[in-house]
Amino acid sequence: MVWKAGDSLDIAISTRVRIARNFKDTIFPNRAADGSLENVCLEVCKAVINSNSYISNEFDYVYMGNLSDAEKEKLIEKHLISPNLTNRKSAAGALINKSEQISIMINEEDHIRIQCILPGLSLEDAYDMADKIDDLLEENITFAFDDKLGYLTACPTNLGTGVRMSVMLHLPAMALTNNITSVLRTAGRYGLTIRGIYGEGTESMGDLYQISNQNSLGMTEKEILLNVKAVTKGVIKRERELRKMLFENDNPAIKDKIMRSYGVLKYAEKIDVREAMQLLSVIRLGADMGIIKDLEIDKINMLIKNIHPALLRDVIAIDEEKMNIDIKRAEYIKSVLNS
Amino acid sequence: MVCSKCKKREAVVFLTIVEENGEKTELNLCEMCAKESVLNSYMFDNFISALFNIESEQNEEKSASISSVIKCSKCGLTYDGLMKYGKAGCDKCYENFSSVIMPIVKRIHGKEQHMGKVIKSKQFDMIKKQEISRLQAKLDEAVQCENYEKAAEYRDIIKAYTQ
Repeated sequence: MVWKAGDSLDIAISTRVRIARNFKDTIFPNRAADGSLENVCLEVCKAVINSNSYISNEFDYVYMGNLSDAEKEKLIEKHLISPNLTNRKSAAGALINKSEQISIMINEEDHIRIQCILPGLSLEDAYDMADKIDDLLEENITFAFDDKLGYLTACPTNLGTGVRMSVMLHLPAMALTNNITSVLRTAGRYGLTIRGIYGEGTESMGDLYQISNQNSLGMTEKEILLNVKAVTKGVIKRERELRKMLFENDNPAIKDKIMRSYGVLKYAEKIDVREAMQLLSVIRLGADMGIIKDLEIDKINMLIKNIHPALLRDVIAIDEEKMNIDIKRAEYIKSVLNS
Repeated sequence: MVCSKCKKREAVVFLTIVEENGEKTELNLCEMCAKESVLNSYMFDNFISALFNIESEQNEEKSASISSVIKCSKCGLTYDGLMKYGKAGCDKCYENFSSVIMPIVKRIHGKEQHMGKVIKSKQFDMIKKQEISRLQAKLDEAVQCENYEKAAEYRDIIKAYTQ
Protein backbone atom coordinates (compact mmCIF):
# COMPACT_ATOMS: atom_id res chain seq x y z
CA MET A 1 0.00 0.00 0.00
CA VAL A 2 1.46 3.35 -0.97
CA TRP A 3 0.04 6.55 0.40
CA LYS A 4 1.08 10.07 -0.32
CA ALA A 5 3.00 11.98 2.33
CA GLY A 6 0.89 14.03 4.71
CA ASP A 7 0.48 17.79 4.89
CA SER A 8 2.19 20.36 7.10
CA LEU A 9 5.19 18.15 7.81
CA ASP A 10 7.02 21.09 9.41
CA ILE A 11 4.58 21.01 12.33
CA ALA A 12 2.44 17.88 12.07
CA ILE A 13 4.59 14.85 12.92
CA SER A 14 2.00 12.12 12.46
CA THR A 15 -1.69 11.31 12.29
CA ARG A 16 -3.25 8.39 14.10
CA VAL A 17 -6.76 7.00 13.70
CA ARG A 18 -8.02 4.31 16.05
CA ILE A 19 -11.24 2.31 15.80
CA ALA A 20 -12.47 0.20 18.75
CA ARG A 21 -14.62 -2.86 18.18
CA ASN A 22 -15.88 -5.82 20.21
CA PHE A 23 -17.32 -9.22 19.40
CA LYS A 24 -21.04 -9.60 19.93
CA ASP A 25 -22.03 -11.86 22.85
CA THR A 26 -18.44 -12.18 24.05
CA ILE A 27 -17.22 -10.86 27.38
CA PHE A 28 -14.79 -7.92 27.09
CA PRO A 29 -11.08 -8.51 27.79
CA ASN A 30 -11.21 -6.97 31.29
CA ARG A 31 -13.53 -9.74 32.55
CA ALA A 32 -13.13 -12.63 30.14
CA ALA A 33 -11.35 -15.92 30.79
CA ASP A 34 -8.17 -16.62 28.80
CA GLY A 35 -9.87 -19.38 26.82
CA SER A 36 -12.46 -17.06 25.38
CA LEU A 37 -9.79 -14.44 24.64
CA GLU A 38 -7.57 -16.96 22.85
CA ASN A 39 -10.56 -17.63 20.65
CA VAL A 40 -10.88 -13.91 19.91
CA CYS A 41 -7.20 -13.86 18.82
CA LEU A 42 -7.83 -16.78 16.53
CA GLU A 43 -10.99 -15.34 15.01
CA VAL A 44 -9.38 -11.96 14.28
CA CYS A 45 -6.34 -13.60 12.68
CA LYS A 46 -8.59 -15.81 10.59
CA ALA A 47 -10.70 -12.83 9.53
CA VAL A 48 -7.63 -10.99 8.25
CA ILE A 49 -5.73 -13.88 6.74
CA ASN A 50 -8.71 -15.61 5.14
CA SER A 51 -10.15 -12.45 3.68
CA ASN A 52 -10.13 -12.00 -0.05
CA SER A 53 -8.41 -8.66 0.20
CA TYR A 54 -4.90 -8.22 -1.10
CA ILE A 55 -4.00 -6.63 2.24
CA SER A 56 -4.29 -9.93 4.06
CA ASN A 57 -0.79 -11.19 3.30
CA GLU A 58 0.81 -7.93 4.36
CA PHE A 59 0.22 -8.68 8.04
CA ASP A 60 2.42 -10.41 10.61
CA TYR A 61 1.00 -11.63 13.89
CA VAL A 62 2.86 -10.96 17.13
CA TYR A 63 1.67 -12.89 20.16
CA MET A 64 2.34 -11.26 23.55
CA GLY A 65 3.30 -14.58 25.12
CA ASN A 66 6.15 -15.01 22.64
CA LEU A 67 7.74 -11.56 22.88
CA SER A 68 10.69 -10.59 25.05
CA ASP A 69 10.42 -7.44 27.17
CA ALA A 70 12.82 -5.63 24.81
CA GLU A 71 10.69 -6.53 21.79
CA LYS A 72 7.54 -5.34 23.53
CA GLU A 73 9.18 -2.06 24.50
CA LYS A 74 10.32 -1.52 20.93
CA LEU A 75 6.77 -1.96 19.60
CA ILE A 76 5.49 0.45 22.25
CA GLU A 77 8.05 3.10 21.29
CA LYS A 78 6.98 2.72 17.67
CA HIS A 79 3.39 3.29 18.87
CA LEU A 80 2.36 0.00 17.25
CA ILE A 81 1.08 -1.48 20.50
CA SER A 82 0.10 0.10 23.81
CA PRO A 83 1.68 -0.55 27.23
CA ASN A 84 -1.75 -1.81 28.25
CA LEU A 85 -1.58 -4.67 25.74
CA THR A 86 1.74 -5.90 27.10
CA ASN A 87 0.25 -6.30 30.56
CA ARG A 88 -1.34 -9.47 29.29
CA LYS A 89 1.08 -12.39 29.29
CA SER A 90 -1.12 -14.50 27.02
CA ALA A 91 -4.33 -14.36 25.01
CA ALA A 92 -3.36 -11.04 23.43
CA GLY A 93 -1.48 -9.97 20.35
CA ALA A 94 -1.33 -7.66 17.38
CA LEU A 95 -1.46 -7.92 13.63
CA ILE A 96 1.00 -5.45 12.17
CA ASN A 97 1.44 -4.72 8.49
CA LYS A 98 4.85 -4.72 6.82
CA SER A 99 5.06 -0.96 6.41
CA GLU A 100 4.15 -0.58 10.11
CA GLN A 101 1.33 1.85 9.34
CA ILE A 102 -1.50 -0.42 10.44
CA SER A 103 -1.78 -2.43 13.61
CA ILE A 104 -4.73 -4.41 14.89
CA MET A 105 -4.41 -4.91 18.63
CA ILE A 106 -6.30 -7.89 19.94
CA ASN A 107 -7.60 -7.99 23.53
CA GLU A 108 -6.34 -4.66 24.68
CA GLU A 109 -9.13 -2.76 26.46
CA ASP A 110 -11.46 -3.88 23.67
CA HIS A 111 -11.34 -7.08 21.63
CA ILE A 112 -10.19 -5.15 18.58
CA ARG A 113 -8.33 -1.87 18.24
CA ILE A 114 -7.56 -0.97 14.63
CA GLN A 115 -4.94 1.70 14.38
CA CYS A 116 -3.39 3.54 11.43
CA ILE A 117 -0.46 5.91 11.72
CA LEU A 118 0.69 8.08 8.83
CA PRO A 119 3.25 10.88 8.69
CA GLY A 120 2.15 14.53 8.72
CA LEU A 121 -1.46 15.70 8.77
CA SER A 122 -3.26 12.94 6.95
CA LEU A 123 -6.63 12.34 8.56
CA GLU A 124 -8.54 11.29 5.45
CA ASP A 125 -6.02 8.66 4.39
CA ALA A 126 -5.55 7.32 7.91
CA TYR A 127 -9.30 7.03 8.48
CA ASP A 128 -9.78 5.48 5.07
CA MET A 129 -7.23 2.78 5.85
CA ALA A 130 -8.71 2.02 9.27
CA ASP A 131 -12.22 1.98 7.83
CA LYS A 132 -11.19 -0.55 5.16
CA ILE A 133 -9.74 -2.84 7.82
CA ASP A 134 -12.98 -2.50 9.80
CA ASP A 135 -14.98 -3.56 6.71
CA LEU A 136 -12.65 -6.45 6.11
CA LEU A 137 -13.03 -7.72 9.69
CA GLU A 138 -16.80 -7.33 9.54
CA GLU A 139 -16.97 -9.84 6.69
CA ASN A 140 -16.23 -12.55 9.24
CA ILE A 141 -16.97 -11.09 12.66
CA THR A 142 -20.26 -9.87 14.17
CA PHE A 143 -19.58 -6.77 16.23
CA ALA A 144 -21.33 -5.71 19.44
CA PHE A 145 -23.65 -2.91 18.37
CA ASP A 146 -26.59 -1.06 19.85
CA ASP A 147 -29.03 1.13 17.90
CA LYS A 148 -28.68 3.95 20.37
CA LEU A 149 -25.10 3.61 21.64
CA GLY A 150 -23.50 2.48 18.40
CA TYR A 151 -20.46 0.21 18.65
CA LEU A 152 -20.20 -1.01 22.24
CA THR A 153 -16.85 -0.57 23.95
CA ALA A 154 -15.49 -1.38 27.40
CA CYS A 155 -15.08 2.28 28.30
CA PRO A 156 -18.13 4.52 27.81
CA THR A 157 -15.85 7.27 26.43
CA ASN A 158 -15.41 5.27 23.20
CA LEU A 159 -19.06 4.42 22.52
CA GLY A 160 -20.72 5.38 19.24
CA THR A 161 -18.24 5.38 16.40
CA GLY A 162 -15.44 3.92 18.52
CA VAL A 163 -13.21 6.35 16.67
CA ARG A 164 -10.39 8.44 18.03
CA MET A 165 -8.44 10.64 15.63
CA SER A 166 -5.25 12.30 16.77
CA VAL A 167 -2.56 14.44 15.26
CA MET A 168 0.87 14.77 16.85
CA LEU A 169 2.12 18.33 16.60
CA HIS A 170 5.46 19.96 17.26
CA LEU A 171 4.71 23.30 18.93
CA PRO A 172 7.99 24.85 20.11
CA ALA A 173 7.04 28.45 19.34
CA MET A 174 3.80 28.11 21.27
CA ALA A 175 5.67 26.61 24.19
CA LEU A 176 8.34 29.36 24.09
CA THR A 177 5.70 32.10 24.08
CA ASN A 178 3.51 30.41 26.73
CA ASN A 179 0.57 30.01 24.40
CA ILE A 180 -0.12 26.34 25.08
CA THR A 181 -2.80 26.95 27.72
CA SER A 182 -4.80 29.17 25.42
CA VAL A 183 -4.76 26.43 22.78
CA LEU A 184 -5.87 23.91 25.39
CA ARG A 185 -8.85 26.07 26.16
CA THR A 186 -9.81 26.56 22.50
CA ALA A 187 -9.57 22.83 21.80
CA GLY A 188 -11.83 22.09 24.76
CA ARG A 189 -14.50 24.31 23.31
CA TYR A 190 -14.59 22.14 20.18
CA GLY A 191 -14.76 18.89 22.13
CA LEU A 192 -11.10 18.11 21.55
CA THR A 193 -8.23 17.51 23.94
CA ILE A 194 -4.57 18.38 23.70
CA ARG A 195 -2.08 16.35 25.69
CA GLY A 196 1.66 16.31 26.00
CA ILE A 197 3.28 13.28 24.48
CA TYR A 198 5.69 11.11 26.45
CA GLY A 199 4.82 13.29 29.43
CA GLU A 200 2.25 13.16 32.17
CA GLY A 201 -0.97 15.08 31.69
CA THR A 202 -0.36 18.41 30.04
CA GLU A 203 3.40 18.25 30.48
CA SER A 204 5.19 17.44 27.29
CA MET A 205 8.57 16.15 26.24
CA GLY A 206 10.17 17.89 23.29
CA ASP A 207 7.20 20.25 22.79
CA LEU A 208 5.21 17.44 21.19
CA TYR A 209 1.46 17.58 21.69
CA GLN A 210 -1.37 15.37 20.60
CA ILE A 211 -4.70 16.83 19.59
CA SER A 212 -7.64 14.44 19.48
CA ASN A 213 -11.41 14.15 19.70
CA GLN A 214 -12.90 13.60 23.13
CA ASN A 215 -16.35 12.48 22.08
CA SER A 216 -17.19 9.59 19.81
CA LEU A 217 -20.98 9.32 20.19
CA GLY A 218 -23.56 11.41 18.36
CA MET A 219 -21.24 12.59 15.59
CA THR A 220 -20.46 10.85 12.34
CA GLU A 221 -16.91 9.82 11.53
CA LYS A 222 -16.81 12.58 8.96
CA GLU A 223 -17.92 15.21 11.45
CA ILE A 224 -15.26 14.06 13.91
CA LEU A 225 -12.66 14.21 11.14
CA LEU A 226 -13.62 17.70 10.00
CA ASN A 227 -13.66 18.92 13.57
CA VAL A 228 -10.18 17.57 14.38
CA LYS A 229 -8.88 18.83 11.06
CA ALA A 230 -10.25 22.35 11.47
CA VAL A 231 -8.83 22.80 14.96
CA THR A 232 -5.50 21.21 14.00
CA LYS A 233 -5.19 23.56 11.04
CA GLY A 234 -5.95 26.49 13.31
CA VAL A 235 -3.25 25.40 15.74
CA ILE A 236 -0.75 24.92 12.90
CA LYS A 237 -1.51 28.38 11.55
CA ARG A 238 -1.00 29.91 14.98
CA GLU A 239 2.29 28.05 15.48
CA ARG A 240 3.53 29.33 12.10
CA GLU A 241 2.58 32.90 12.99
CA LEU A 242 4.37 32.64 16.32
CA ARG A 243 7.46 31.16 14.67
CA LYS A 244 7.53 34.04 12.25
CA MET A 245 7.04 36.55 15.04
CA LEU A 246 9.85 35.03 17.09
CA PHE A 247 12.33 35.49 14.29
CA GLU A 248 11.00 38.74 12.87
CA ASN A 249 13.19 41.13 14.81
CA ASP A 250 16.34 39.11 14.29
CA ASN A 251 15.99 37.92 17.88
CA PRO A 252 19.52 37.10 19.13
CA ALA A 253 18.31 35.29 22.27
CA ILE A 254 16.38 32.73 20.23
CA LYS A 255 19.20 32.25 17.75
CA ASP A 256 21.60 31.76 20.64
CA LYS A 257 19.34 29.15 22.21
CA ILE A 258 19.12 27.26 18.94
CA MET A 259 22.85 27.26 18.23
CA ARG A 260 23.71 26.30 21.82
CA SER A 261 21.28 23.39 21.64
CA TYR A 262 22.87 22.32 18.37
CA GLY A 263 26.28 22.58 19.98
CA VAL A 264 25.33 20.39 22.94
CA LEU A 265 23.81 17.74 20.69
CA LYS A 266 26.91 17.73 18.49
CA TYR A 267 29.48 17.58 21.27
CA ALA A 268 27.90 16.04 24.38
CA GLU A 269 29.52 12.85 25.68
CA LYS A 270 26.36 11.57 27.36
CA ILE A 271 22.71 12.63 27.25
CA ASP A 272 19.40 11.34 28.64
CA VAL A 273 16.13 11.14 26.71
CA ARG A 274 14.50 14.15 28.31
CA GLU A 275 17.36 16.54 27.58
CA ALA A 276 17.85 15.16 24.08
CA MET A 277 14.16 15.57 23.26
CA GLN A 278 14.15 19.15 24.48
CA LEU A 279 17.26 20.08 22.49
CA LEU A 280 16.02 18.29 19.38
CA SER A 281 12.80 20.27 19.64
CA VAL A 282 14.77 23.53 19.62
CA ILE A 283 17.00 22.58 16.69
CA ARG A 284 13.97 21.35 14.75
CA LEU A 285 12.57 24.85 15.09
CA GLY A 286 15.97 26.27 14.07
CA ALA A 287 16.18 24.06 10.99
CA ASP A 288 12.65 24.95 9.94
CA MET A 289 13.34 28.68 10.29
CA GLY A 290 16.60 28.44 8.39
CA ILE A 291 18.80 29.34 11.39
CA ILE A 292 20.60 26.02 11.15
CA LYS A 293 21.56 25.49 7.54
CA ASP A 294 22.07 22.12 5.83
CA LEU A 295 20.16 20.08 8.38
CA GLU A 296 17.16 18.19 7.07
CA ILE A 297 14.03 17.97 9.22
CA ASP A 298 13.83 14.27 8.35
CA LYS A 299 17.07 13.61 10.18
CA ILE A 300 15.73 15.30 13.30
CA ASN A 301 12.44 13.41 13.03
CA MET A 302 14.38 10.17 12.85
CA LEU A 303 16.34 11.11 15.99
CA ILE A 304 13.17 12.08 17.88
CA LYS A 305 11.85 8.62 17.12
CA ASN A 306 14.98 6.55 17.66
CA ILE A 307 16.55 7.93 20.83
CA HIS A 308 14.14 6.12 23.16
CA PRO A 309 15.83 3.22 24.96
CA ALA A 310 14.43 0.14 23.20
CA LEU A 311 14.63 1.56 19.69
CA LEU A 312 18.09 2.99 20.33
CA ARG A 313 19.38 -0.42 21.39
CA ASP A 314 17.89 -1.81 18.24
CA VAL A 315 19.23 0.85 15.90
CA ILE A 316 22.82 0.70 17.10
CA ALA A 317 22.72 -2.96 18.13
CA ILE A 318 24.24 -2.72 21.58
CA ASP A 319 24.32 -5.17 24.42
CA GLU A 320 22.16 -3.51 27.04
CA GLU A 321 23.91 -5.06 30.03
CA LYS A 322 27.36 -3.63 29.50
CA MET A 323 26.76 -0.25 27.94
CA ASN A 324 25.80 3.08 29.40
CA ILE A 325 22.81 3.98 27.28
CA ASP A 326 23.27 7.76 27.73
CA ILE A 327 26.78 7.59 26.26
CA LYS A 328 25.55 5.51 23.33
CA ARG A 329 22.68 7.95 22.75
CA ALA A 330 25.10 10.89 22.56
CA GLU A 331 27.29 8.97 20.11
CA TYR A 332 24.31 8.06 17.96
CA ILE A 333 23.01 11.65 17.84
CA LYS A 334 26.48 12.93 16.88
CA SER A 335 26.81 10.36 14.13
CA VAL A 336 23.45 11.30 12.61
CA LEU A 337 23.99 15.05 12.85
CA ASN A 338 27.47 14.82 11.29
CA SER A 339 26.42 12.46 8.50
CA MET B 1 -33.01 22.40 42.86
CA VAL B 2 -30.42 22.62 45.64
CA CYS B 3 -27.15 20.68 45.53
CA SER B 4 -27.34 17.56 47.70
CA LYS B 5 -23.72 17.95 48.82
CA CYS B 6 -23.30 21.58 49.86
CA LYS B 7 -27.02 22.20 50.20
CA LYS B 8 -26.46 25.78 49.10
CA ARG B 9 -25.97 26.22 45.38
CA GLU B 10 -28.21 25.33 42.48
CA ALA B 11 -27.71 21.74 41.25
CA VAL B 12 -26.70 21.26 37.61
CA VAL B 13 -25.44 17.64 37.54
CA PHE B 14 -28.11 14.99 38.03
CA LEU B 15 -27.43 11.34 38.75
CA THR B 16 -29.91 8.56 39.42
CA ILE B 17 -29.19 5.35 41.30
CA VAL B 18 -31.56 2.46 40.81
CA GLU B 19 -31.73 -0.14 43.55
CA GLU B 20 -32.57 -3.78 43.10
CA ASN B 21 -36.17 -3.30 44.15
CA GLY B 22 -36.51 -0.58 41.53
CA GLU B 23 -36.35 2.24 44.05
CA LYS B 24 -34.60 5.28 42.63
CA THR B 25 -32.35 7.68 44.49
CA GLU B 26 -31.43 10.94 42.90
CA LEU B 27 -28.21 12.79 43.47
CA ASN B 28 -28.06 16.40 42.39
CA LEU B 29 -24.85 18.39 42.46
CA CYS B 30 -23.95 21.98 41.83
CA GLU B 31 -21.13 22.78 39.44
CA MET B 32 -18.65 23.43 42.26
CA CYS B 33 -19.31 20.18 44.11
CA ALA B 34 -19.39 18.19 40.88
CA LYS B 35 -16.09 19.72 39.86
CA GLU B 36 -14.61 19.07 43.26
CA SER B 37 -15.47 15.40 43.21
CA VAL B 38 -15.10 14.81 39.51
CA LEU B 39 -13.17 17.30 37.49
CA ASN B 40 -10.05 17.66 39.57
CA SER B 41 -8.50 14.75 37.70
CA TYR B 42 -7.16 15.84 34.37
CA MET B 43 -6.68 12.48 32.71
CA PHE B 44 -9.78 11.30 30.98
CA ASP B 45 -9.72 7.74 32.28
CA ASN B 46 -9.66 9.01 35.84
CA PHE B 47 -12.37 11.41 34.89
CA ILE B 48 -14.61 8.52 33.95
CA SER B 49 -14.05 6.45 37.04
CA ALA B 50 -14.47 9.67 39.00
CA LEU B 51 -17.80 10.20 37.29
CA PHE B 52 -18.85 6.79 38.47
CA ASN B 53 -17.38 7.25 41.92
CA ILE B 54 -19.17 10.43 42.65
CA GLU B 55 -22.27 8.34 43.19
CA SER B 56 -20.72 5.74 45.42
CA GLU B 57 -18.95 8.40 47.47
CA GLN B 58 -22.21 10.10 48.18
CA ASN B 59 -24.08 6.93 48.89
CA GLU B 60 -21.54 4.66 50.49
CA GLU B 61 -24.01 2.83 52.68
CA LYS B 62 -26.48 2.51 49.91
CA SER B 63 -24.02 1.29 47.30
CA ALA B 64 -22.70 -1.33 49.73
CA SER B 65 -26.12 -2.89 49.88
CA ILE B 66 -26.74 -2.55 46.16
CA SER B 67 -23.36 -3.80 45.07
CA SER B 68 -23.69 -7.20 46.68
CA VAL B 69 -26.95 -7.88 44.87
CA ILE B 70 -26.81 -6.21 41.47
CA LYS B 71 -24.74 -8.05 38.94
CA CYS B 72 -24.62 -8.24 35.18
CA SER B 73 -26.40 -11.44 34.24
CA LYS B 74 -23.83 -12.21 31.58
CA CYS B 75 -20.34 -11.30 32.78
CA GLY B 76 -21.04 -11.08 36.51
CA LEU B 77 -19.74 -7.51 36.84
CA THR B 78 -21.14 -6.02 40.04
CA TYR B 79 -22.46 -2.51 40.50
CA ASP B 80 -19.43 -1.98 42.74
CA GLY B 81 -17.01 -3.10 40.04
CA LEU B 82 -18.63 -0.83 37.50
CA MET B 83 -18.34 2.13 39.87
CA LYS B 84 -14.74 1.34 40.72
CA TYR B 85 -13.30 0.81 37.24
CA GLY B 86 -15.79 2.77 35.14
CA LYS B 87 -15.71 0.08 32.48
CA ALA B 88 -18.32 -2.33 31.17
CA GLY B 89 -17.51 -6.04 31.29
CA CYS B 90 -19.53 -7.07 28.26
CA ASP B 91 -22.08 -5.79 25.75
CA LYS B 92 -24.97 -6.82 28.04
CA CYS B 93 -23.70 -4.54 30.83
CA TYR B 94 -25.05 -1.63 28.82
CA GLU B 95 -28.56 -3.11 29.09
CA ASN B 96 -28.27 -4.39 32.63
CA PHE B 97 -26.82 -1.18 34.07
CA SER B 98 -28.63 1.06 31.63
CA SER B 99 -30.12 3.38 34.24
CA VAL B 100 -26.70 4.02 35.77
CA ILE B 101 -24.69 4.22 32.56
CA MET B 102 -27.01 6.29 30.36
CA PRO B 103 -26.79 9.54 32.36
CA ILE B 104 -23.01 9.14 32.40
CA VAL B 105 -22.92 8.56 28.64
CA LYS B 106 -24.91 11.71 28.13
CA ARG B 107 -22.58 13.60 30.46
CA ILE B 108 -19.49 12.41 28.58
CA HIS B 109 -20.67 12.81 24.99
CA GLY B 110 -23.47 15.34 25.35
CA LYS B 111 -25.49 13.11 23.03
CA GLU B 112 -27.40 9.86 23.31
CA GLN B 113 -27.98 8.73 19.74
CA HIS B 114 -25.23 7.17 17.67
CA MET B 115 -24.66 8.72 14.25
CA GLY B 116 -22.31 7.44 11.61
CA LYS B 117 -21.15 3.98 10.62
CA VAL B 118 -23.45 1.07 11.33
CA ILE B 119 -22.97 -2.71 11.19
CA LYS B 120 -24.06 -4.17 7.87
CA SER B 121 -27.10 -6.08 9.12
CA LYS B 122 -28.64 -2.89 10.54
CA GLN B 123 -27.71 -0.46 7.83
CA PHE B 124 -31.21 -0.01 6.43
CA ASP B 125 -33.02 0.60 9.75
CA MET B 126 -30.30 2.76 11.17
CA ILE B 127 -30.02 5.17 8.30
CA LYS B 128 -33.70 5.97 8.83
CA LYS B 129 -33.24 6.29 12.57
CA GLN B 130 -30.25 8.59 12.25
CA GLU B 131 -32.00 10.73 9.66
CA ILE B 132 -34.98 11.19 11.99
CA SER B 133 -32.69 12.14 14.84
CA ARG B 134 -30.96 14.67 12.59
CA LEU B 135 -34.28 16.18 11.51
CA GLN B 136 -35.47 16.30 15.12
CA ALA B 137 -32.40 18.38 16.03
CA LYS B 138 -33.17 20.76 13.16
CA LEU B 139 -36.79 20.99 14.25
CA ASP B 140 -35.73 21.87 17.81
CA GLU B 141 -33.40 24.50 16.45
CA ALA B 142 -36.13 26.01 14.28
CA VAL B 143 -38.50 26.16 17.27
CA GLN B 144 -35.79 27.81 19.32
CA CYS B 145 -35.36 30.47 16.63
CA GLU B 146 -39.14 30.81 16.47
CA ASN B 147 -39.06 29.84 12.82
CA TYR B 148 -42.33 27.92 13.02
CA GLU B 149 -42.77 27.57 9.29
CA LYS B 150 -39.50 25.66 9.00
CA ALA B 151 -40.33 23.69 12.12
CA ALA B 152 -43.62 22.54 10.61
CA GLU B 153 -41.76 21.46 7.50
CA TYR B 154 -39.38 19.30 9.54
CA ARG B 155 -42.27 17.92 11.54
CA ASP B 156 -43.99 16.77 8.36
CA ILE B 157 -40.86 15.11 7.01
CA ILE B 158 -40.34 13.29 10.31
CA LYS B 159 -43.97 12.19 10.22
CA ALA B 160 -43.51 10.83 6.72
CA TYR B 161 -40.43 8.92 7.86
CA THR B 162 -42.08 7.34 10.87
CA GLN B 163 -45.22 6.22 9.10
